[in-house]
Amino acid sequence: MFGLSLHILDLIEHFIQAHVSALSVAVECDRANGILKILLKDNSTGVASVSDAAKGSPLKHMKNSSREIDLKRLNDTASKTDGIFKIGKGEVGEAIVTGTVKLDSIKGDIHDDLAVMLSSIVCTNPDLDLTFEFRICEENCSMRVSDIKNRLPPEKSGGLTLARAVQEKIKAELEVFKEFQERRSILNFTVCPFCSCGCQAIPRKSVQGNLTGLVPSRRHPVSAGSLCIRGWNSVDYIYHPDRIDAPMIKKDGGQIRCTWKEALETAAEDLKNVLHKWGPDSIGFIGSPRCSNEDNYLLMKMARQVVGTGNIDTGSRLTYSPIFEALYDSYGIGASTTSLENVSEAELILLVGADVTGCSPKAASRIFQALNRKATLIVVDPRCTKIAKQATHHWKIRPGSDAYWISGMISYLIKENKVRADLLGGENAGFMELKKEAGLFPMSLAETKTWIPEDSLRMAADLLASVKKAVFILGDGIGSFDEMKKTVYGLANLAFITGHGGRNGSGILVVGGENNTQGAWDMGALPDRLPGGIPIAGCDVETRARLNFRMPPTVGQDYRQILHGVMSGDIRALYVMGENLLAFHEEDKAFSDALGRLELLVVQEIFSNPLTAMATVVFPASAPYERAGTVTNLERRVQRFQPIVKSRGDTRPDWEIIYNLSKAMGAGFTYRTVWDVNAEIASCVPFYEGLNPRLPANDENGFLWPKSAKNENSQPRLRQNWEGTIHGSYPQEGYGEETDEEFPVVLILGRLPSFWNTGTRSSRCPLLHREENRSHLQLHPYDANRFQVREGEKVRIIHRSGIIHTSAVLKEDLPAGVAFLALHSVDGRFAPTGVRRIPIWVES
Amino acid sequence: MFAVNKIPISGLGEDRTIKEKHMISTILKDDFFTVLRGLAKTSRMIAPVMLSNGELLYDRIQCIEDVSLQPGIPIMSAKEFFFSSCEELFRFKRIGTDAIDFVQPEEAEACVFLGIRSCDLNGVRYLERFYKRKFNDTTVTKKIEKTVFISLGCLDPGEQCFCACCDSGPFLSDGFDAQLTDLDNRWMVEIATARAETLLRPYDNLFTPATDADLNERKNILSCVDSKFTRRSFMAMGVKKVSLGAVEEEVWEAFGDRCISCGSCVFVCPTCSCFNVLDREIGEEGVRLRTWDACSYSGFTREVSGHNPRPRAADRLKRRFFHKLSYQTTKDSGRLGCMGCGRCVVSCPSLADISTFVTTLRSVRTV
Ligand code: SF4
Ligand code: SF4
Repeated sequence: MFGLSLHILDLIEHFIQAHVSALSVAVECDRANGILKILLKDNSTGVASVSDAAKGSPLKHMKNSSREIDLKRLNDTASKTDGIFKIGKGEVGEAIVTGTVKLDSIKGDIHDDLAVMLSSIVCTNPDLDLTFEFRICEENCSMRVSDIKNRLPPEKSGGLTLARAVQEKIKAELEVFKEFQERRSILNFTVCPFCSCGCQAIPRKSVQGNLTGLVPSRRHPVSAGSLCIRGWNSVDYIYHPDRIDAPMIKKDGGQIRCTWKEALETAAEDLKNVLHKWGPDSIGFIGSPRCSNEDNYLLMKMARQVVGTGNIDTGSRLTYSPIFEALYDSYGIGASTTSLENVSEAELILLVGADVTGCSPKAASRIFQALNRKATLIVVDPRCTKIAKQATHHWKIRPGSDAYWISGMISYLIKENKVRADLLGGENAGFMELKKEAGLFPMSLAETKTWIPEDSLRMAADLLASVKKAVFILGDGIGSFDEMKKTVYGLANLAFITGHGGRNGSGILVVGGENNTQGAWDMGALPDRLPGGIPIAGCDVETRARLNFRMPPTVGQDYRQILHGVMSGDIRALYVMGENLLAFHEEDKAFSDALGRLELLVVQEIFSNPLTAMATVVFPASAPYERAGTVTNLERRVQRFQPIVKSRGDTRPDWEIIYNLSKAMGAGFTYRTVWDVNAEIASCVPFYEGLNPRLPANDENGFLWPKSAKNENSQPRLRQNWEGTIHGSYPQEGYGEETDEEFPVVLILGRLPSFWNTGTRSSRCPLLHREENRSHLQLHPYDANRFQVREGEKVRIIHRSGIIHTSAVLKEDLPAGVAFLALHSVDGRFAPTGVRRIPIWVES
Repeated sequence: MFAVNKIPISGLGEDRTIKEKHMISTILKDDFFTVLRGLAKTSRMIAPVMLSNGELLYDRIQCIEDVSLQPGIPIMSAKEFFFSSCEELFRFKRIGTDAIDFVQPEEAEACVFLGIRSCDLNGVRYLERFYKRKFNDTTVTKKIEKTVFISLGCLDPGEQCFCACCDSGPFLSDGFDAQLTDLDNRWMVEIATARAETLLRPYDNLFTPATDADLNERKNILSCVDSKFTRRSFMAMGVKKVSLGAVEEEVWEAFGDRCISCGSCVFVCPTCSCFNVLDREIGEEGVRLRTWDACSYSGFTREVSGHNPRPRAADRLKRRFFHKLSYQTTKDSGRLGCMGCGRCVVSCPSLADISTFVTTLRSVRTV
């Protein structure tokens, strides 16, 4: 280091000799790539203020100002540094010196050396306006000599005293980083980017610096020593040849690679044009439950505050949004009201609509722990999933009829007066409503509708009323899609009236989403809600002020409406972040034609796919392992992740792309790092007040929101009691599509554990791809007989709106009348509508 | 790509001669640190480090202050440094349509593995034996041969440890180059091979030959450790029952029904050695990789036709435990395939680890 600081000193001297009045020194420690970057920049005000006029001839302008930097001499000095430093020019022609040093080659203490060096400069040049910035792993500190100077009494602000003050200040500021410098081999943590459990993982690298795998953290409350098959085998995709590594724009009918500047300018120009011609509501934004909180927050901000539209949503509209909405209405938070820890301590667990060992393995492992403590597990699922085999009671329910057993139980409990004591005497309007209609739901109706025996329902209801700790776990398989929200209201009511809504040890846990399904919802990537899930209708002056919204937020179109808008031509420009719209639509020619007719299609992606091939502008995004940010897991745990590997090619993190584009469109916000965005989220998103980017790096376990800014300790449990509100939840007649003679069997569409959603990433990880890449139609032998289909035979699944080709396997553990197929192996027709249950006929 | 700094360890070579009599001496802990500092200057070093959340993990040492010789078992076993989770076997480049250029990776470098736990070193020796059988797989064995192992005896076995039941710890009587025992403010260093002696010779003046009192102290420590184990796994009975096919089908079913086929047990296991081979290609260039694989995955045994001889998790678990308990012991190496490190006990999300399994066998009696 000593040699290095001498070099820096030499270079700075050079600037001083050229009468530079302001200088910034930035040192960035990039541990992911094992290098230290140094940047010296002439910051004198003259440059910035004349820059507009002097476009084109910056060097001349520099002559005009009082300073003259002899680039040649600077070059000479730089060349003596063994090629570490290079001379360049900045945006307005100011001189810039950049240096890159391998961390391994630095011996000694970076921060002590820097402090001594900078203070010696200050001592001899007290009037130089020096700014110093030090950044390590997205943590940064910055200081300005003039600020320190202003704080000193005037008579003492000269030379030595100032130098000493500066030295002290730098040392104090850099104390935080000392740990990093001393323990260089200590690794960054990351969060598994697949499911909503949010396991913490530690990177393993080869001697050459390639990521070879992830290993689980043992002290993390979620991973607790293990990952699932996805986590262990998840890194290969970042090295896949399909990665996009440079921006691309459409030109002369084809796509060409271009610079970031060109891509950003094109996108900004085109967006402005569409905005000008057709107005803000002709533009649609699709966010992603796979992207970080910062990404989704900024996308929301760009949509609402730069473009001025409410047309923003994510693919979760078809899966988790109805659940979150129902929970928001019932409990005031659009999220789980309990934690994983509570699951392992529960006495009764009621699991509805989730193949939990596959989609949220960590929730499954908590259930195993609870069972080990003799908990009762009731699984409501037509399929005999792995967890169903462990169940104390497995109710093979008629697909989609959840609302009926829930209502049956509610009315039984009300009739038997087995509800919370305070409800019986009190004046809860919602409860009165429920009570009035209780008579309409005899257990016998529940039994006929759901195939669950009355006695079982009664037994479960009694148990629910008597235990202290009960946890409801639900996935997006609950209810039929149209009735999903109502079904969740029902479950929330059931939890509420039995006192298990959100008190210590009890509550509702939503499982099965993507790594940031929760966070994307919280950040307000929603057409009708603001960050924190606040409905736009309820947005008051105060909320708006806190969000710092210039334009009043409007209700926009949701995911499905935006896609319809594309079809109908109402949407002229579409901005897509991390969502392959064509994954489910590949065979839907009308839809891809409609996409082709868009005036502008901007796609931010990590892989090239049919959608990026159609895009006007493609922004290459960094993979999660290559960047930093926060994500929120299924129990509301907000966790930080750090870059663990070098970014591929010229990719950039999503937040940065959106930010740069907003800037190119004239938005007036500034973020230096992702942690600036993070800090803004802490200041304006409800429940996220406790986010603190300056938290010491060892506080990587995150916290369960809500956490106040003051409360330094993360809150392990939710507030004592979440009071709930009751919403009507009795089902109307019917539940989705009914079977008949023509289509006698209900086909359930679900997920496979190793084929994660559309398989964008998982199918690019060889072991995951090997594990499961195609899905077969699972049929009960009785139905196979009815359709005259044999095991392994190629079959055609006929439904009311088309045909699916696949092959059949026979499964004894499905109930007769129910079949199963993985969601992704179906063509476009269902996924975008959210329909998960289809009456079918099968032919060989 | 393969040009990594090569620092030779002078005098190490391939000399793995085992000394007839172990040399036992002691050294002050502070002085030992000086030795480490010196060693780190001349050789690559792998040792346990403590992460910021307090967990231990073996890692390549860049800064000697990182080394942590605290008690506790590192998250991953030592195998990842010899049988890597993703190893480059060679690089290739297509030239025209029918020629391919191959580049062999550079040979493994000499290295010091400090603070390896007894169970882990036993695991490494197990892997060495496996990869030398019939065909010597040098990508793995060369690395092992070129490493000097300075193992660390355990005084505080963890809740999950049962190495004493597997004859693999907490102290070693052979298989190491040097072994450390914690004597409060001193380390007792037991040197077993000539190359360990060569390695430490430059620091001769810091070591004191062990006195009878020291040896007695160590003896006392060793006899105390055994009583500290809280977990007992009745391996002998496990071997017998599994070998005789005397395990009830319901037990297999129960474990198989719980196993979610995550592969955690395989990856954390110091002796599991199955791998997958694949090519990662970008454009004309590519690299052939060998990655970890797990027998708990259904894709592991699935055949091209789609037929899977071990379709259920129970079938796969049965094969895995049979291999570890019975095949290894009775047919192959004469030693258990389990080292008792207890990592799978911690890692299995479904309480389906080998220790729980063997304990279950004891409680389910065949009538
Ligand atoms: S996919 Fe989910 S359960 Fe599996 S390792 Fe990742 S976060 Fe953990
Ligand atoms: S036994 Fe446990 S750790 Fe091993 S694959 Fe099965 S669930 Fe995973």
